[in-house]
Amino acid sequence: MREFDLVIPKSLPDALDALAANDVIVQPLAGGTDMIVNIRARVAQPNVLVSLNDIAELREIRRDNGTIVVGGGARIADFLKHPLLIENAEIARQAAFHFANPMIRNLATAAGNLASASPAGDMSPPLLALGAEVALASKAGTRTLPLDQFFISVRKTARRPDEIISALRWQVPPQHTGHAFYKMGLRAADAISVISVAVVIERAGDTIREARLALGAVAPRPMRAYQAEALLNSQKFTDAIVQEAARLASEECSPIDDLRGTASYRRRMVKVYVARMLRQAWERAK
Amino acid sequence: MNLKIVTLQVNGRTHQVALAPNVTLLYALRDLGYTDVKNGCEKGDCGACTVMLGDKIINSCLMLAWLAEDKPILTVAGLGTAEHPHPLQQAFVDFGAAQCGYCIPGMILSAKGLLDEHPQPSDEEIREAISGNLCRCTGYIRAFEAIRAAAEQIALQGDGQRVMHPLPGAMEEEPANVIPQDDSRGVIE
Amino acid sequence: MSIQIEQPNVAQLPELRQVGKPLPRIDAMGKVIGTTKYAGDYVMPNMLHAKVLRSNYPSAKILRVDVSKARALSGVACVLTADDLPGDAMATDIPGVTGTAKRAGTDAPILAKDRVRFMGEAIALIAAESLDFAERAADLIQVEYEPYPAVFDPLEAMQPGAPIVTASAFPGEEPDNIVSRWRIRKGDVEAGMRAAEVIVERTYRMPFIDHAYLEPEAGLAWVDENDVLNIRVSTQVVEHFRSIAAALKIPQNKVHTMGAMVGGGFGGKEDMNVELFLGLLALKTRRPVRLIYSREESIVAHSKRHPFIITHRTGVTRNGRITASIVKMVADSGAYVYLSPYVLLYAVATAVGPYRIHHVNVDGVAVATNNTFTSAMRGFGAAQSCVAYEQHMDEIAKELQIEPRELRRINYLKTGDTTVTGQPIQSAVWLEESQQRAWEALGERTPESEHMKIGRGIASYIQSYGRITWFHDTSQAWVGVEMDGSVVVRCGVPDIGGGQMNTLAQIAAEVLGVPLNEIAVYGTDSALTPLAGTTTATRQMYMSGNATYQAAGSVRKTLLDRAAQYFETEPDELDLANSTVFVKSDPSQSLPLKQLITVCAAEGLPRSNLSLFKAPFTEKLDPETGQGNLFPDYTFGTHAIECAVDMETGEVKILKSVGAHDVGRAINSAAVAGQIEGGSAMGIGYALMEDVQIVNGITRAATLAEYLIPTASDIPETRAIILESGSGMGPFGAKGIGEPSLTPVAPAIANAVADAIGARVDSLPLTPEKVLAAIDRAKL
Repeated sequence: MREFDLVIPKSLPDALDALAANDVIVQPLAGGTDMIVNIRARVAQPNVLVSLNDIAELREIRRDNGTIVVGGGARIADFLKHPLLIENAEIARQAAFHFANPMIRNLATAAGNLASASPAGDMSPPLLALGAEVALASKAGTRTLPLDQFFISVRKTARRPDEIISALRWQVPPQHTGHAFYKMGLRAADAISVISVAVVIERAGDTIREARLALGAVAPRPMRAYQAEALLNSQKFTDAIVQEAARLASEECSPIDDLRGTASYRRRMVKVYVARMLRQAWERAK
Repeated sequence: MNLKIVTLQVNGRTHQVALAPNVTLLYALRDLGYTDVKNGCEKGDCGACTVMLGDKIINSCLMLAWLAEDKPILTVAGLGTAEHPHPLQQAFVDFGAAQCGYCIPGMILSAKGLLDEHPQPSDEEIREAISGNLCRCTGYIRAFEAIRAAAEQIALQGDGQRVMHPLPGAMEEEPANVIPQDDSRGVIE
Repeated sequence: MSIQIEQPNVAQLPELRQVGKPLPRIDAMGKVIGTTKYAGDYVMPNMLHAKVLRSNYPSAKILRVDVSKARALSGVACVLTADDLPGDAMATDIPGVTGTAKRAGTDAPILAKDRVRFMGEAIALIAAESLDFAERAADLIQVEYEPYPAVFDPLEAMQPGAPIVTASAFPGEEPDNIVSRWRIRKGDVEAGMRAAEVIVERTYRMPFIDHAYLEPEAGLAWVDENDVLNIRVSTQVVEHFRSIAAALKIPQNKVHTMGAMVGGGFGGKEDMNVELFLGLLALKTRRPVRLIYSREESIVAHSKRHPFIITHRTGVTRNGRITASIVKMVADSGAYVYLSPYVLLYAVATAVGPYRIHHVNVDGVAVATNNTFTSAMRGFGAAQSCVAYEQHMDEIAKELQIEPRELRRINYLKTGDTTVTGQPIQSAVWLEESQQRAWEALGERTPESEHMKIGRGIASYIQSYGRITWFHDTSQAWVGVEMDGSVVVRCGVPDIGGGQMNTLAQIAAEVLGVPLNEIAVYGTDSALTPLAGTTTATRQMYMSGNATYQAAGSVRKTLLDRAAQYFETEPDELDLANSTVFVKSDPSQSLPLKQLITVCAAEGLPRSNLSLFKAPFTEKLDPETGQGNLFPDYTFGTHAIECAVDMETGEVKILKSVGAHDVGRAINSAAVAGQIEGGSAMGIGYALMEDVQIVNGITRAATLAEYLIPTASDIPETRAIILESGSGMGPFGAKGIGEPSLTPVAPAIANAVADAIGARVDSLPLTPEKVLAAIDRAKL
């Protein structure tokens, strides 16, 4: 593997100092499950890696009034095990269950998965559907972006090289919220998604108070299906509206052909699974 | 190259070794002689390099060795010996769960990771727990059985004790002949 | 040839104490406690680390290879290119197999010289003080390429004017891309077709498949004080020492290859892999050299399963009797020949499956392309042919509106029949039994639900065990009893995980009446253990098992003869069990084996025996008709599948998988069931997800994240049903099961999917997208 230097700061300020160096390529190292692979494949060529592994404050998971705050160092496995996340991030729990495999889940971080910005990143659709924000910290301070504005294109994000994702935040889902996630892979576990669909619906009687739909692996970036959402919000939940929302979602995505599937198949699967996940989430929202 | 003396605690032994920052835990362990940690893909796809770091199973190929400093590391060789195998190890023997065996050290550690957290796992949880440990020989069937049996054994007697399982006769070996039909006769000169 | 048919029943199989039992294998504990060593686990003092520089182009001229910077790099011990080699090619085209003469120009270069013919072909070798140094050196090698016309589609490669991949030609012929042809002409197909009431024609396709053993290729070589080149390598074939000697231009007795536990083979470690590279570097540097492939390198550099395009045209009567069959097969041989001629032969010889058809024409051709070379993989052509003929049986059944199982029953080969090459089958043909048992074991049909259709399918097969009989195959084993009563088996068998060594131990344990754990097996060494032949072709239990059985039997005879004197009785009156010799009629009259062996030693009686087992030897098939004897014997069985298909997405979930195989006699029933379970999993991968996706010569699925094999979560409820006719040619009447257990799985799945959706996908793998497209077509 290519040579690089590794610094292991114990505090966030030390990490941000290390990242601020601009004479060489410095990159943060979270779980490493993407970074180490990329270095080996020569896709990433850092001179210095700044490990976030030993920074205790990044591992925090807490509730701050109505907001869930997850430190940038929280692991995927935390979404399966941490009581606060099990209770307040059902859709992320579902995605975490299908995230790679147990070993990777113990290393990989949710923030790292977002920062990698793979169009097929498993945690992106559920966190988009939760309406999450990312806190980006640098020596200059911390800024917060809605997750949807964080993704720019394939493996490109709004993160500056001197920034790290210090936290993810989302509002505690209100009562009568239903979550549904589906990842289509070409095998039952440990697969890269062909498509993924995340739906969070807040229900008021037979009306959709708010629906958030997010899609993975069907656009250069993980995306919200805003047109479909707009159609659904404040409407009665009917078969017709589900079908129409699914159609809109399949039209507003922009998939490509790759070795896992063609664009047209993906579009069609978006239609099928948006409808199915809407129904599932609706049922669960009771 | 920026070498550092790193302290690695492996299977209860302490090693101090000079390592460059780009050395993964997989290579560090194998160079120390822990060849039971296998290299199958070096990108977290196969699980052959699985070790326990602290109380977590991880892919040692994705962890830089510097970051494993001072944390207890367990490889399958540290789990038991031929004289005192861990119940999982004994069950894998008894059920014939190993064929070529290359995936087995990682798979047993994944199973341990499971049983540590879920002492009485469902079948689904067993499958899921070893879904990151690819095996090309066995079809996993005997591993499921072994893990289930080991879980029961641990529940009864705790781990660290040698137990012999009854031979896996329940595993659908059907040595009996079928009842022959008209045209299906056997032995030939 | 006289065939005496007897009614088999349990009582006729002799009572056995150890054979047949699911005993824990002698190799199991080392694997679970991590002490088992694989080739890449060995190190030596002063060892160098090797790396191979490989081609970035599937087809190019090499204008220049500049290694000067790499050689100058400190930490680098040696850099070799084709210019440095003593010989420059290894033969992969065996004379007399592809024709009466060797086709010129088909050998694979050890290192590419003027041209590269597939992406990943080796160009230069590096040995350095560390892997990091070796990688840096590789970066410093400059290769100048000029793209060269290429052909990637075997059908295009057969056309006149196609780019010629290897300039292969028989003397006096124009070069073409044809690597091998085989044909079968049996009966009168025109008459057979005239007798048909319905003719069904379909074409089936299969992709490139990777063996995906968990252990990538690895080896360690050194030259010792006697000038012997020693190579410890992960291989199915220690006999490669001869080819290594030939390629390196050194005497055969100065090459010593030894294996280690092989971390999976499946045919992918049948051809040489790292041996020649290591040999060259060790001879050059006179230092130990280790080479371990990365996963990516393994996938691009080692052989693949042949993709086939197979067309069946079958004549059949309305009531389901097949009257004639015409089969055409095209196999993609990739850039070099390797075992393509044999793989093609296996496919051609099983083209019509386990069916009794009087009029058959089969034409198979293997064609060179600029894809990764193809060679052996579990099933070896016979698996590919089964994918086609068993799907075709279902298509015929659908056309005739006959139950597919019934169509098979009407046409199955029966005990006493001959194969399509005219070979009388020596053993029982338990196809109906296997079908019945497999089908019954599916149990109750899973109910359908919204979007979810349930389908069921079966596939039966014929598959040889043991090598082609004109190879005149032999195996040798040595069995001896030590002074403490423990037993040594020495046999050069490589153990690739199927329990090859344990099988020998269990046979020796049975014959000599000692507990399994009292047996030590020494194997996989070309110089120190008797040569046993390759661990391929489902032959080790049959060949080396018989050699061990013979050798152990000879020792047993010595022991019992001597003991008979002691007990003043006949040897027939004695038996051996629990390391004790005893009088059968009065077991209280007994003597510990240890004492008996002491007596034998004191009297100079032989306590060991080296035995050679010969398979049947035959002449080649008739080249015009493909008629003649081809294999020692055949295994038969049936696999049954139940699956669920999502009709809106095409996703397939296998619910139940049952393999029922007549293994003659299970030596270790747990190991046999393990083969069947593992074959089921590999077949699920073949059917549903595996595809190397070599597109324009470039491997797209180059890692285990893209090349998907089944995980534990993909495994359905699986049952292994072991049938024992006792009629096999292996020890105790055993038949081989290693390859056969895979063969019927993928077509059974394809048939189950077709049953569920009412349409057929004509190519593997059955991806959700292809399944959905078939569902769409069925609705039109």
